[in-house]
Amino acid sequence: MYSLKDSLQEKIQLLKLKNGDSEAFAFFYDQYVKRIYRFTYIRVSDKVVAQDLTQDIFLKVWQHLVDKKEIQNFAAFIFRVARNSIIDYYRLSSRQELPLEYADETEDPYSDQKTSLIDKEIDLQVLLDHLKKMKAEYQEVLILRYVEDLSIDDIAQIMQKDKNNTRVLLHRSLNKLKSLTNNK
Amino acid sequence: MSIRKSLAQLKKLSSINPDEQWAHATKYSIMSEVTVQSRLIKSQKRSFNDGFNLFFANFFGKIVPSLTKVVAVVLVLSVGSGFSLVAQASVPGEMLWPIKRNMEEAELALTLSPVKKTEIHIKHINTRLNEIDKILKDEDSVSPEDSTKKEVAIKKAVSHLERDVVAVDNSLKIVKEEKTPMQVVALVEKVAIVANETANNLNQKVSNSQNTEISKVLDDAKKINQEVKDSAVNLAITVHEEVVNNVAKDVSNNINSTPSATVVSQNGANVEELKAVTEVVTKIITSELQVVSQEVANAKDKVESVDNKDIISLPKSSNLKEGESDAKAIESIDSLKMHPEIMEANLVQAKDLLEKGNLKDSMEKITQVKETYQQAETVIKRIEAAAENNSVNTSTSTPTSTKPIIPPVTTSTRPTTTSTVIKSSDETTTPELISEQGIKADEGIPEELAPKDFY
Repeated sequence: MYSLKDSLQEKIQLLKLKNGDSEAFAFFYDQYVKRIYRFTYIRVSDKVVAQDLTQDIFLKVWQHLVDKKEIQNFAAFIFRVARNSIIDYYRLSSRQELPLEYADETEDPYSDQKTSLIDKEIDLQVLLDHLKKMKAEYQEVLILRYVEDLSIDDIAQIMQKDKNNTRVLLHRSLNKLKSLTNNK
Repeated sequence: MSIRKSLAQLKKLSSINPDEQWAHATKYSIMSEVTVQSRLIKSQKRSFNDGFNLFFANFFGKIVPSLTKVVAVVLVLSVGSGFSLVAQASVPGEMLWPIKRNMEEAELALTLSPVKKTEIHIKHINTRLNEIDKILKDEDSVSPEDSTKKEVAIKKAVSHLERDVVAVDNSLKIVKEEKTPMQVVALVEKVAIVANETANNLNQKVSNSQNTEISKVLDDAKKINQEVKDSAVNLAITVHEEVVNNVAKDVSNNINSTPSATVVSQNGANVEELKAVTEVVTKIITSELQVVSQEVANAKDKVESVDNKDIISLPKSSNLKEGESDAKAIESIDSLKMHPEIMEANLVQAKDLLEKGNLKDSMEKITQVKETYQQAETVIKRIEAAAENNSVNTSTSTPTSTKPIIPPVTTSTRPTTTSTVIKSSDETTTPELISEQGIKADEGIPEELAPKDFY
């Protein structure tokens, strides 16, 4: 969760960014690159695609600023761009969500790590498999809420829904996850 | 797994991170793009204060003498006529040459009109060429110890020539902003004439020079001269297009409403201006056509020479490029054979477009011909280098030289008329192709060099 200090710093940098300060953009890159990469990686399950999408997302954000369009809430804006980019990616590649039989071929996010606690890895892989079986909207709301720690307000802006609908969506996604974990 | 455990596991997904190296490299590439765009946006934004300051800087720069101008006047007046004459005759490397250069700078500082400044820069280009002439005059008779001094002097002269050439380009851009279209295109015509003379002059020097180091320096100067000439000609075409658009706008305004007497006379003046500008720009492009068709004729001769002599040395020669196979080398030769045809076809099209009054498209065709010519030149140079390597390695009796085997084709000092140089499509001939047997019988190639199983 963002502290008040982080929040104020981000507001100051956003003001600078609106004036075309490229150093402020570097600040936002540092703050958000891991989060955006993680969000895209969990959704597309491909490291290279996640890297390409992440780069595109930041360039789109910059282009938005060059075109002198407003950004009120940077976090909401960049995740919305990320979400739309992932939707476009799937549309272009006409790819379906990976069915269970291909689950083994997905890249294990912990494959680069030297230490392996096997139980933990198995649990995580199972969790990712469960996520893959859910609707895209359910995946997104769970990741944004529980992995990226965003508020309901921010998630509502990202998903372009009102707050009530977002709460309902979150509730339904948790129920779906519960049913999947109980049925394993 | 309970829901609480699932949520706890979800939290662990936050440990997924990108590669540090990738993140750093991506930041670098994104920030390069962002920084460039950011600077461009800032430079285009001019606040009221900046505009205010710029106007007054321009105004005071013209009427109030700066320290540079005062020093320039003192320099010009205090130097005695005899001393200045001696300085005028000096060349780079001599003691008085820096004084000569300072006097040239003083002359520029005292000139207010950008048109006059451009003309002074053109004068300086001629001065640099004369200096280079003088230095190279006795190149053959110079002792080896002095050849290094000559090289240094040439490099200095050429570097100042390049500076003057670039100054012409900058000065022309200022003229475009401040003067009428007719003044701009008239100046471009002068610049194009001087650039052509410079190019011919440098070509002759390159072909006559025995020193590869000096040839390279002169080649670089040729490139810069060509770039500035192209920039000037494109400027003339831009000005012409602007005048055409103005006249077109007048015509459409007249259709929409009845013009007053003042507007009618202004429109008349615009039409007259268009006629005059079109005439001058047509002359510039015609001159470009003549120069380019001469280049095409030279390239055709060189391509024919390459086919007849040097292709047989390729299988034995070192590769054209490090690691490049002979198959690749032969492919370059095959594509080279097509170049003269392509250039001639584009030239004919350029001429047709010029006759129809389509100046911009005509110039684009000419640019395409130049690009093809450059490609052909690059391949020819590589072949020459490979052939030279081969002749040095395999033959001990043939005389060695620092110059390539293919005899240079001399260029005329003045461009010839269009009708004699540009052939009609009926007369277009293709370059001589190598026969199926590989070599022509009357070439007299020694038996040991005759290719066996060439392809």
